[in-house]
Amino acid sequence: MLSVADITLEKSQRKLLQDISFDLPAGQLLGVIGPNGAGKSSLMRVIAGLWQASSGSVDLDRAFIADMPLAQKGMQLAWLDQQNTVAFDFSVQQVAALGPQEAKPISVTAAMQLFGVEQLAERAISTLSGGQQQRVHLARVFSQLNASPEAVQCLLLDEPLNGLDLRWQHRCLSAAQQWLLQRPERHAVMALHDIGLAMTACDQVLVLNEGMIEFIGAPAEISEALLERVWRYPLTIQRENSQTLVYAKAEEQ
Amino acid sequence: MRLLPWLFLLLLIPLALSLGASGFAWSTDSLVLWEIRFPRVLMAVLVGAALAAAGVMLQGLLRNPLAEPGLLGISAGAAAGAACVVLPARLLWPDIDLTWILPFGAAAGALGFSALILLLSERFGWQENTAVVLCGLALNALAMAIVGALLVVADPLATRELLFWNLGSLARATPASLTVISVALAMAALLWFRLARQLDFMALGDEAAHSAGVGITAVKRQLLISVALVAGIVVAFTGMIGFVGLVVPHMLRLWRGPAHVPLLALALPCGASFLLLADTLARTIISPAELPIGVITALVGAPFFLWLLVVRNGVWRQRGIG
Repeated sequence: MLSVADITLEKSQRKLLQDISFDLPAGQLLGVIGPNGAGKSSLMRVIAGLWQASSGSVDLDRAFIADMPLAQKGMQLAWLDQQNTVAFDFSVQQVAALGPQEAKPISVTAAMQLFGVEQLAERAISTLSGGQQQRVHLARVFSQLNASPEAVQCLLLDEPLNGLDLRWQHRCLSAAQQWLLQRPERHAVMALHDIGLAMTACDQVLVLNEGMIEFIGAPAEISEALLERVWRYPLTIQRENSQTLVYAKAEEQ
Repeated sequence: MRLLPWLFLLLLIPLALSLGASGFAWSTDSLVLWEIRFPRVLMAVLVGAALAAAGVMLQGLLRNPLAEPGLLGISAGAAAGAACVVLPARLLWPDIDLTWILPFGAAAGALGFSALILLLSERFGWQENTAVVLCGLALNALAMAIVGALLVVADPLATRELLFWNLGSLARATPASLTVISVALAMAALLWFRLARQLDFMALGDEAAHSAGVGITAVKRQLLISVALVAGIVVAFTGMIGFVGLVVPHMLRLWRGPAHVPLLALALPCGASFLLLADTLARTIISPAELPIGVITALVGAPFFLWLLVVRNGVWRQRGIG
């Protein structure tokens, strides 16, 4: 169980997060959605232990993440930042191997194949397109998952689908879902901006608005009225079989 | 392949020892060879290795391929410290021997300015690399202003001494200075080899490195202190030798890629060879007179730096790190 309790985050006298509390049972994928500036990345960073909350706590199976020794945190959590830039001309292979996976080249190769970047292994990452670079960083995170299947308990991806085309968006989501299924004690949280994808792929969805929880629960319970109020834009939800599509209506003049 | 640079250095040392004012000769009497040339050759090896390795670590630490020890105001601080001691001393006691006074003043200045940059970095919480570089630039300007102001009131002889120190020279190598520099370099190199792999993680950014278990603040603090100490000690004994710390890491990165452990392992012998070559040129090219070594390294370094700016900067800007 990943428990977030009464998190408040203040930076430069601005409240970025306020009274955030929820429990995520093991085996579930949580999607965090919300309009620009709602606090998605802030919440992800607090959960990952990168930012210290002003008050409140986050614990993973009763171990407070903020109190974990750095090395343990590095092993138990797998993190992907929203913005990934690499200084200097590191190759794709070198970037994918940065992490505890460096000792297990097989796990790096498998993840590079998963995200279709094994052909680019020797290229400098800076010479790739934005979407290809994002796939390399996903391969880096999934290499860590492959390399230490018993250690990583929480996968935290901030906007993992940035710049990816449809094929790789689905590859990323299904890879995360499969990873969750392999062992019972695993958790995954993703910040996403595609509402429909989040509602399709996630077990639970958390809607953030101005640093506060507007809704948390099963995607089926999300209404058009809720989305329109949070995004301040006319939206339509279309549910078909297991797929959910959210699209914008023409704005009223 | 890994041994190649060391082999090159080993071949270069006897060549440098045998080259002198009278051209190429092994027959020079042993006094000149062992008492004058040998300490100087050893000094070139140690200082070149130290400056290049410090450059590798500083560029990795600041994620900035344009960083070198001089950038943080450490060298300029040494110049200011030297000026503060030398100029008044010459004014008060015209016959005073400056052999130890100058390095002492320079070391005090270098360490003083290092302390300032460290305090400022702590204040920024070690997150803002750009802020650290900007502080270094400001400190640089401050130190050069102190030197400039003192030079106005100084007598011509002291000015000349200071100018020559500023240009850098390895001629002041003594057993004592060699010992101090080799101890400092050995201790720093041990630390740097331990931290070099962490710099690869830090190339992904502080947060990605932190989430991979790298203690960002501790690594940055240890690296900045050790680089400042090594650069301060080197500059105190040799004066300002620019561009080694900038050019050598770049050439090596172009040759063998950016991973910091192999880069550091290469920077030690290659920096040593680069400076030994430069110094051998400096003392033979217009013999019996000699050029300040800072002139040679800058003559090679400045055009290379410009080439980097013009040809390579477009690539850096594209990656948002230039």
